[in-house]
Amino acid sequence: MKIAAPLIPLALVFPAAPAWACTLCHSRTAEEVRAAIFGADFLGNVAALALPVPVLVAAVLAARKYLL
Amino acid sequence: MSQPAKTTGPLTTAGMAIGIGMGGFVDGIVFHQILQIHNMLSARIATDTLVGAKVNMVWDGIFHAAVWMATAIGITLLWKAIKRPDVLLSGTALFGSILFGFGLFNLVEGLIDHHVLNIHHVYERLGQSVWDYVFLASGVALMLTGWLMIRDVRSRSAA
Repeated sequence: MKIAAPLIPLALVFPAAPAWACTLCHSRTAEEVRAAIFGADFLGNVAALALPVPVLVAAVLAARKYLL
Repeated sequence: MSQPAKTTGPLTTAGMAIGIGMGGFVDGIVFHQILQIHNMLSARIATDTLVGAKVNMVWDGIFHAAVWMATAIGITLLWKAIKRPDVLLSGTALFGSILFGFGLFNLVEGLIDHHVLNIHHVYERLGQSVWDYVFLASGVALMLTGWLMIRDVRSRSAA
């Protein structure tokens, strides 16, 4: 709590930030971008992005145990 | 009474995590943003339209968030390591492990993303090319350099 308390006012930044109302949010381009991201291959893309993570974690643990 | 043997393990683990994170940032900042020779899904979604570029930008952002997390984890591990009395605080070992992590990132990310999943390639215009193999080789070279640096520190501390 000691660390978190001074950070609470930071939360006020988010609703106030102009970025919250992004310029493309209601444009046709934005709709096309959202449709492309959340299309049928969304989970496949997430899985592709996430795949190196467990491999890297395993490699670090193996390197620590056997190599470094 | 003799001092207990000091270890480099916690320090090099922190260094590897920092190296993975910073290696990811080098890839993202230099190749995705400054040179724009590939993006995260550029082999699946062409980047030559506004929508395609913006979709790739979102996935680049998710990638950057992940490598930011790796860096933050590394800094946390480093903070814990330096407070332990049994850890050998060696700048050479830390730098070597950062290089090792950087190389590990290039090797693992290169193998999975460029060769297995084919979601992007180093120089997207060419598809899979010699640059993908140069990327892997850079990973091996960085890992080897880092490992030699750490080994040197460990052999000197044991002597």
